[in-house]
Amino acid sequence: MSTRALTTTYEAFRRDDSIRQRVRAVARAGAVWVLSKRPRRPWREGLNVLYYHHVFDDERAGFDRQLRFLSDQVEWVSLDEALNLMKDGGEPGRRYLAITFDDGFENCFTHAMPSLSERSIPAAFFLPTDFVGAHPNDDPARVWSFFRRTVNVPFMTWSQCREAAAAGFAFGSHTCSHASLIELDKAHVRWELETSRKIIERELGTPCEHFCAPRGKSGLHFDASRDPKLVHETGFRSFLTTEAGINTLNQSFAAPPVVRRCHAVASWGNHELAHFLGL
Amino acid sequence: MNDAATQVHLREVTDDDIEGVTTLHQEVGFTPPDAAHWRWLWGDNPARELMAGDWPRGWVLERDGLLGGYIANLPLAYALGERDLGVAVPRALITSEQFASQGLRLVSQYLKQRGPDLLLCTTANSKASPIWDAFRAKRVPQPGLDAIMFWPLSADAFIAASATKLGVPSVIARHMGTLGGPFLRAESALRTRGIPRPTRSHTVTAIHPADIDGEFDDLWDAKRRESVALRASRSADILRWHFAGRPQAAKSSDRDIVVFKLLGRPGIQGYAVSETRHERKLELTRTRLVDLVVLGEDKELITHLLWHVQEHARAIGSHVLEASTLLPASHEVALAGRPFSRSVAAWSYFYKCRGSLREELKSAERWALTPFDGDTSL
Repeated sequence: MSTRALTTTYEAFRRDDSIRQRVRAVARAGAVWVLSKRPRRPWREGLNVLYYHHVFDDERAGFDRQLRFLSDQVEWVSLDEALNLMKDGGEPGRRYLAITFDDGFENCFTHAMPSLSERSIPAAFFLPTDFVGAHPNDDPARVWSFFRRTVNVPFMTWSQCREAAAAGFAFGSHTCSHASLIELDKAHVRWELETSRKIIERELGTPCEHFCAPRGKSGLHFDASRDPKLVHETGFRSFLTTEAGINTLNQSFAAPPVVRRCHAVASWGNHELAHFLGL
Repeated sequence: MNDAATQVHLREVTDDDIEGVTTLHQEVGFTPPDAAHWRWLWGDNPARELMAGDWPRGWVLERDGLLGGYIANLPLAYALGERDLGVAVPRALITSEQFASQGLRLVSQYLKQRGPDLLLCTTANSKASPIWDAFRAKRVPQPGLDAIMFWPLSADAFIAASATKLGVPSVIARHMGTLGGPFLRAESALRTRGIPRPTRSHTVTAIHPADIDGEFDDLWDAKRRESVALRASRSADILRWHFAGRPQAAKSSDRDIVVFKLLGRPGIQGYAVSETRHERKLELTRTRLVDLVVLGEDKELITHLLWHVQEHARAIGSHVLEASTLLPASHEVALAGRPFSRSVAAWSYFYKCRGSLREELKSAERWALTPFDGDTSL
């Protein structure tokens, strides 16, 4: 296979954005800037979970800045600790924050993990197992089928995942194919859950207890009345979504807990994180 | 028959004829086979057990020890639903100038054989097509076999190659490409030509045809149970032989075959095969879709595979993507990509069979030919 130029910057990653998407991004940035100038909402008692997808070369400095900023404001917790807080409650007045990464891109291993390790911040990474180890120079079709466009972003290898797991990072399932669960029938969802879990446990030698729904919006990407139940039946302890919001502590929930998360991009300014997290 | 004809002897081809057949190919400007190529066609052919009965490997025309005509009689395994069929495919119908009037005897001999369940020709050219008609071979009733869809991927190179093909000197053709390229690009952009990006997630992986494995056997078993239609057998053995077995010496060094397999739950749900060749004379790199199999003829899955073939072709610098002989669902997906299209010069698909099979194959619904069939992509 030929050697192709890898997509290493966020700017290159977004090169195919339509004019509409670009206009929307500018409008969004402007709106968030204006809103962030207003008096902030007080931090609501509860647990916030952030999710990133990537930390490209041109986002690395921004990611470090964000971690510095957040470390001064919050108490970092692992996903396991987060679930315990949701169940048992935490200490009043404390700001708990967990951090997660979806999709398992290699730049999370090369750029995000060193910054997280340096600050001893726990994090969880969700892997779509069909794509672990996929590299644009070995199998571009596999990489392109993930994005459904021709971007050349490598995925973490199992060897990198093992190294990260040994360093204390957690890994969960993001299905095998990264398909939206709502598009699949029950048997197919079960197959995706069981297979991805078995593969991750086999490759990493540790239990795979957390699940994150691809794309993650209720009613749009997963069936809230069916999928969390299937996830529980398959042996997972959590069901992470992309529904924005804070997770209340000390709640009695049906197993597994459905976890809300706030989206973050490593290049965002601190004011954007502050606005969305209410810091 | 006249005197000349009676002197010409028609007999079954033997191993000793390789030299004469090679010379014959060279005389008419065809790439000659060699011993390895013959071994691949006959000895390594997964359908070789069909030859255990009355199945000649082909026939030659001979006069005074000189070969002047040849037709190969290739055994291929087919299935009509779950029923296995032995199909004889004619290949390389060649006659030298002195034997031109005798060529019909070769076709006649091919059509007279009783061993195979079905005789199927998929590559009749404009000269051969009237001959098959004259011998009352039936035209395959499957719709859409008379057109080739194509998408220029490099407008400049495509226009230059088209001009060269029309006889324009290559220097001028290149300038025509440079001048016309922007217009063709603009036209393609305005008309949004090209297979659209798929909307749903499926995992596709590209493999070398030698890596085709048992998953393809499962896919083939499921596919043949899906409907009662005539399909070339696509077991893993056959696919490897077809796409990866061809000896190096006999194949063009510019031929590149990639298999795109679509992962399913479990196993695979479909695959597409692309073949890319560089035509030095035209300075044109052409990627063709040479097989496409998808369970349930699911259009979403077909879109995925066609999009991958297109993007692969674009990535390796191919100048044009071609697709032909598509089944209705695939045809519809390809049409959504607003291709250019051209008609074939002559009807290429003929068949002959007997008994109940003849009645069954009268219906277009019983046919599911793709470019994999016959010797189109061998």
